Amino acid sequence: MSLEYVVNLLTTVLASGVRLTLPILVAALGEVYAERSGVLNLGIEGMMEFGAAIGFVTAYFYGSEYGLLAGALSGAFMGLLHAILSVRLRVNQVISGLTLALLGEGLAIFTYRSFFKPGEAPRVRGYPFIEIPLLSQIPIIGPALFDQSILFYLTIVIVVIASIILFKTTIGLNIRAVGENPRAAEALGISVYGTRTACVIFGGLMAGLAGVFLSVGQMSMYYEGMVAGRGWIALAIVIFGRWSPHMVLLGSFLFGVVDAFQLRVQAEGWGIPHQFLLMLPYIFTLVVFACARKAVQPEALGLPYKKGE
Amino acid sequence: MSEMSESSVSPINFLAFFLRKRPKSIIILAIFFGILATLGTSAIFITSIGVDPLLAFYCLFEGAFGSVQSISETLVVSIPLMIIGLGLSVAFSCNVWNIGAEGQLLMAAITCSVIAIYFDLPGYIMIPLLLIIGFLTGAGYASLPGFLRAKYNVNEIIATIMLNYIPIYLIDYLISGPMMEKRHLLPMSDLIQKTAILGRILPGTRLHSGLFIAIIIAVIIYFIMSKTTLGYELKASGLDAKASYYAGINVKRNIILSMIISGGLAGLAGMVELCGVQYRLKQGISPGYGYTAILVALLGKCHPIGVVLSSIFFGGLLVGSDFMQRGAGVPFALVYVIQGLLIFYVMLFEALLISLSEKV
Repeated sequence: MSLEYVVNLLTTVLASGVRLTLPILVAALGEVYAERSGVLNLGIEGMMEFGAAIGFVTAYFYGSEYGLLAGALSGAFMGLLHAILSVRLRVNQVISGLTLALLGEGLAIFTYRSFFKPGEAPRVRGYPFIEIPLLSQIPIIGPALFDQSILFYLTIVIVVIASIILFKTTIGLNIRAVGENPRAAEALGISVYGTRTACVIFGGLMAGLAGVFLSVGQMSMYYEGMVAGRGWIALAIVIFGRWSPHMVLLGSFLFGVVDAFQLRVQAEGWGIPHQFLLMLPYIFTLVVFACARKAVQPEALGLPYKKGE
Repeated sequence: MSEMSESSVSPINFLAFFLRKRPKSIIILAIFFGILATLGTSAIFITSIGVDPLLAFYCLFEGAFGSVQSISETLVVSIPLMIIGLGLSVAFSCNVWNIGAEGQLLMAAITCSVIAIYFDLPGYIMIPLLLIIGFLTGAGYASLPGFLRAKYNVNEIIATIMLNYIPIYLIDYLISGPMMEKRHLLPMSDLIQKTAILGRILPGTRLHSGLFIAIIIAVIIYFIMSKTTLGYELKASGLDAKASYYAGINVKRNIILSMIISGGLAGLAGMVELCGVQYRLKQGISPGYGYTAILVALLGKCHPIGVVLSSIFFGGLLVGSDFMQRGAGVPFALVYVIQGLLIFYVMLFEALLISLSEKV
């Protein structure tokens, strides 16, 4: 193994690792808000799938930028359904989330199949890449950070804003108060229902957006079950990242690099059957997740709140 | 509040009073309205792709329950859903969210196929052995997340889902590598031994003796959950873990136990699918039974009788949708929408009716 080979390996794994990070990171950020407000949304796998399908179909007929909008809105709609059930009607959040996860998958496949017949594999144009001069020439990290799709820069902006809003503004304080002690928050004049509903819809919107990042952004196509557990992995990363945006960024990036690494090893053919490499991201998530068990979750997470009791 | 004064008798008040007096009517009404709302919403979807919804629903029903042939196909699909759903209903009652039935089923299909293909045993040893191996494999695979939850409070939902993906790739590896069929043409294993096959019980159909296994399990689960201390303790742990702990119930043991029961039954379903329907290990040995069974258990309200009925209902939906695709040109995927919508609407109406009954 020459030095040149190692540098090349690191450069490509990092660059594709960052790309693979994006959908999970975006979905996990949305979930951070939902869970910080006290609502567990187990539906994000299905919301991502639905966003991926709607985003792709819209991108195919109207252009990729409208795909982003449509995917985000379809995710937000699913988020609204979850909010109606789990916030207003106080249905068990686990049951509501699981149902929406399965419903989202069904809606996604049905929508796609209504427009395209089996065997067709239409493709769309992805999103433009922006190469920042000079910086992109930095060895190893240059291509990973400064020669990326526009979605990457967009995501970084979202992470920063999400982090500032959650920890430096009154809105963020209200969200956290509602998730820690809803009764006290209500007494201070914060609407628990309103805050939670908004956070869950935002979580759904981000999951839908993450789906479009995956279908239109990464693959330029849609296929059934393409989310392949990324929604669940995002949920694991939220816990691993202790409900804070920058830790979630780190967790998603770790996952992205592991995924990029196994893809690279597959391509190079090191003699390991590819099926075992494909298992790696899931095993990695499970192990990391099991080790991150000591995390302290928002006090009121998963507990339904009833006004005026 | 329960006294009905002359002035407060309005239809709404009467309904609220009735619902409070008869709590079981809430779920029955919710299912009734849920089915209506699901039919209505699906009709919109079907119309939107240019198909007459009445034709589609006719095909759906005809394909599911229209003839002896279709009823037996419905039962064939119901068998794994029933077995898994019964196990999941135990876990869900104990507030243990085993979402890994799909993986547990596939793992058991792997271990059972190894024995059923490569060991030449007489039937009276083979079938019981496979039943035991299937149960133990599923139970073993589920006990890992069960242990992590009980001992370290690791969320079992995410752990079980991650474990669902591993056997998918493992099967893929086995059937294109070490266990590939003799001719090495197709990615699937050889056929299992004749002695490992669960016999057909209705001539001319695919209905197999796994149906009896499913019914026996339903009786056993019913007995355990409603007639024994164990069932009572499992449900108590699920309702209020803290109170149960102070009442001297071993909550941690119950968490692991409910994982073992649900995982074991998912494994048993893998064995039954392998030996009753597929006869060989291949990709797609389960078309998502482990996930559909979650909805089966939820619609059945985690009660054995409810689960048996809802598994037949979901089996009918799956079989009927196949017919609907061929007969009316509606994409098969609509069935997943119908399943999800149904549970969504039942939850919605149930919650609305409960809040109505509390209001007046």
